[in-house]
Amino acid sequence: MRLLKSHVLLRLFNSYVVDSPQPANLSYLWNFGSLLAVCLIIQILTGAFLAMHYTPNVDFAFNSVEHIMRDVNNGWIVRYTHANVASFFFIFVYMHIARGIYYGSYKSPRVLVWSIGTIILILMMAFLNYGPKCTNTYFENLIAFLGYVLPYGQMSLWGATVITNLLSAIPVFGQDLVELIWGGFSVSNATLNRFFSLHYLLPFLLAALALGHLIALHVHGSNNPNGVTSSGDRYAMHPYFIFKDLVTIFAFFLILSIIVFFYPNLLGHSDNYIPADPMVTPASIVPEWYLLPFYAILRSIPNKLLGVIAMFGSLLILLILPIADLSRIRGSQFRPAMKLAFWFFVVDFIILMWIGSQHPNSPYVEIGQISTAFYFAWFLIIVPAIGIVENTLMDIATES
Amino acid sequence: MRPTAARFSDMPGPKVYNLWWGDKTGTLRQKGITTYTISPYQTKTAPHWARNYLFNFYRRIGGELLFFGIPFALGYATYAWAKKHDAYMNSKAGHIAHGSHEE
Repeated sequence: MRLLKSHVLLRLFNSYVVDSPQPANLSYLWNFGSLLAVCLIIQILTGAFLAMHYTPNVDFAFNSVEHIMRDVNNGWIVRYTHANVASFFFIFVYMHIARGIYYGSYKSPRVLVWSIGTIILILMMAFLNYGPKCTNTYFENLIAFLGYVLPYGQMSLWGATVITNLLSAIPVFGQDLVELIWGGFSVSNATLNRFFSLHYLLPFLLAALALGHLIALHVHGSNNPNGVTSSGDRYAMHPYFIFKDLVTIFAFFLILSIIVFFYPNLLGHSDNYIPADPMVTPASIVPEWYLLPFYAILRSIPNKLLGVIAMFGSLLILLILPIADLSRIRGSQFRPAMKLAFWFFVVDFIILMWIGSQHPNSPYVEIGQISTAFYFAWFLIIVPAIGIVENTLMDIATES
Repeated sequence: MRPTAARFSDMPGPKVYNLWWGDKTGTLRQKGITTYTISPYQTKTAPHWARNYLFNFYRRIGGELLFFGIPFALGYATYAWAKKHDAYMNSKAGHIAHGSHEE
């Protein structure tokens, strides 16, 4: 037997990326998993090199980032790649989740895969954002959040202040908790330092969870566009799907190169090029684009505690999809009502993203509130209702 | 003992058709699963992609047009109306008509 199939470690590799039988009808929408793996590897590599030149201290953080940009050989490429791949990471995550929702990939027997994925999403939101916070002088979202703080610019500081302050909404011990996280009475040197530490640590936790995601996936194998078993028609992962994955990976590299070399600050905020200043509040504090929908949900509820609960709830609610989807049919391919509902959900998400970037004036506040209500209603009412109606119609049609 | 022994009972059955961590039984020999192999010389990742992009892609996306066209049209209408309304509320005419309490 070939070494690839008999060696204790190589046969693991073999059963995941060489001989693993995959449904022959997978479309390009199944390529986001490999793209996300590429993103994670790029982020860990560029992050390690950035950390060699970055100084997690309020007095030096901003200047050390400028040092990376100007003095370190090719440092600007490393930093711009790290900052922009973070955005692509979220684009791919949202597409990956949308694919899962559209094709019912969350349904039994893949509930564990879906649940681990949701935990990965929450961790990304929570901890990646420490990075940019460390780059300015101040801090913004947890891995994304943690990363945003690292440059310690104005948006880093004030983003961190706003986001960490959310925890003060917790009754009784909220304020104590916030001060514990800050390591002081405001976002300070201690905060920057620990955010940097967590921002470095958590991607490895994320990598471990991604492996768990894969292990759970390989128990039952991938879903496919038709939503029925594909055991009768499969291709081995290599060569067909390996090369198909490479098509989108190279397309990603092409687009990433264009952005890094020609529009590196397209997705960033100009305020983060102003060193953090605790005495000056920016005109408007805007999170990174990928957090805007959740920021809009937070702001649409006047009560601070309920707003914080709604924001975290909007992520956790993904977990109930396997229970809420009552339809007997997996995926939307043969369910026109669900297709329409899916696209309404996508548009609602985009509207929330737009509202999150606007000042809280009328009519933006009202649109945000309606969109938030729709967001939750989609999971709790619309999806189960479509399932019940479909099942009932099916029963009536097949009764005779 | 190999590290996967503890989970051996989870090996392929009616609901388990992929291998557990590096199982020795061989990937292609599970009951009820048909895997086709393509010669690397025959493997085409995107055959006729240019022609398909023009015709098949258009046909398939066109078939879905109603499902995403309606939501996106409504979403864009909301966006356009809100922008216009906000601009009006911040204009001189808007201030005169609705008082100046609006920001």
